[in-house]
Amino acid sequence: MTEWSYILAAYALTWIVLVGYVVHLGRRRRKVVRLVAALRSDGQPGAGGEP
Amino acid sequence: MTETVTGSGSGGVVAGSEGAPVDTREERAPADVAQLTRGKAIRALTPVGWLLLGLLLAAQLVAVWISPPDRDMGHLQKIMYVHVPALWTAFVLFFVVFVASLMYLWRRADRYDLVAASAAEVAVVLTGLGLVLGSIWGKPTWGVWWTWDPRLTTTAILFLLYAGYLALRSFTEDPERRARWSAAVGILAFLNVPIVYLSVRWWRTLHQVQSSPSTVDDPYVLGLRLNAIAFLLLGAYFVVRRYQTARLEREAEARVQEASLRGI
Repeated sequence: MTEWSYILAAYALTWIVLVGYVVHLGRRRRKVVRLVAALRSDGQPGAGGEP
Repeated sequence: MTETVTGSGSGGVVAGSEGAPVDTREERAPADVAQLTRGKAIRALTPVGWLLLGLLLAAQLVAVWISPPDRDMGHLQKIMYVHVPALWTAFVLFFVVFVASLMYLWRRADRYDLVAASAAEVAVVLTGLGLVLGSIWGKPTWGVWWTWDPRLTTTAILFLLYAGYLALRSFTEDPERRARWSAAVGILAFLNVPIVYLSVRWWRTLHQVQSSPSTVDDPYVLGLRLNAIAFLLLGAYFVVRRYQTARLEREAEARVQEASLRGI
């Protein structure tokens, strides 16, 4: 491997991890927002309030 | 009275003097269900987040573009602009965990527990990233992907300690006990951070001394500073977003507990 391939691998990995964490945050947020919406509207999960 | 607020920013459950949850959400929750589930509330990133990602990309391009090859490492030196800022940001966030854990034990307010947990999650991600980036840098420089050098070993221990902190949180169901135990671990684990930082001075082995504006040559200072600032801002943003989600998770947890207490 050339030195530039290590550099490219390092920067690519950085962005994969950052974008992966953003995706993880988004999924987690959507999941809990829907759960809270359902609980706020009916007092129990899955009983309504879904968008 | 010890006040414990859970739930979203718009309302929550306040523990009364007897510890019984008193619901205050109805008068403090302007956001209705429809508002909560559409638009920016469910987006992973706000415009500020996109801006910070753009700032990081710009900082990386500038640093890679302007930095000359290092005398010993050549262009491999450019890995410094991701490896070092990721770990610096992680160290700052571990300090946030430490302070928030102390604050939790002192004030017993849920928000400190949630701040600590949010900062720990982001810091663990950045520490893991920093370790792998160091490995990618180490292979062409030292000839090995990994060696039991004191800096590498203490950093790996740091990663495992805080991964354990997150595991402890996920395995403990009672919120109060989870917060108390996590705070204790968050404080004790931080003792390793100065050891990691000083390990390169205490045991002069393979890893070079800390890269900082005072230890690198002038052509590398601007790139290092720009990337450190960009990483730090992005890390702080991630913690804020994670904290907002954690508050909603705590609200859901409190509502489910209430429902089960009422026998629904």
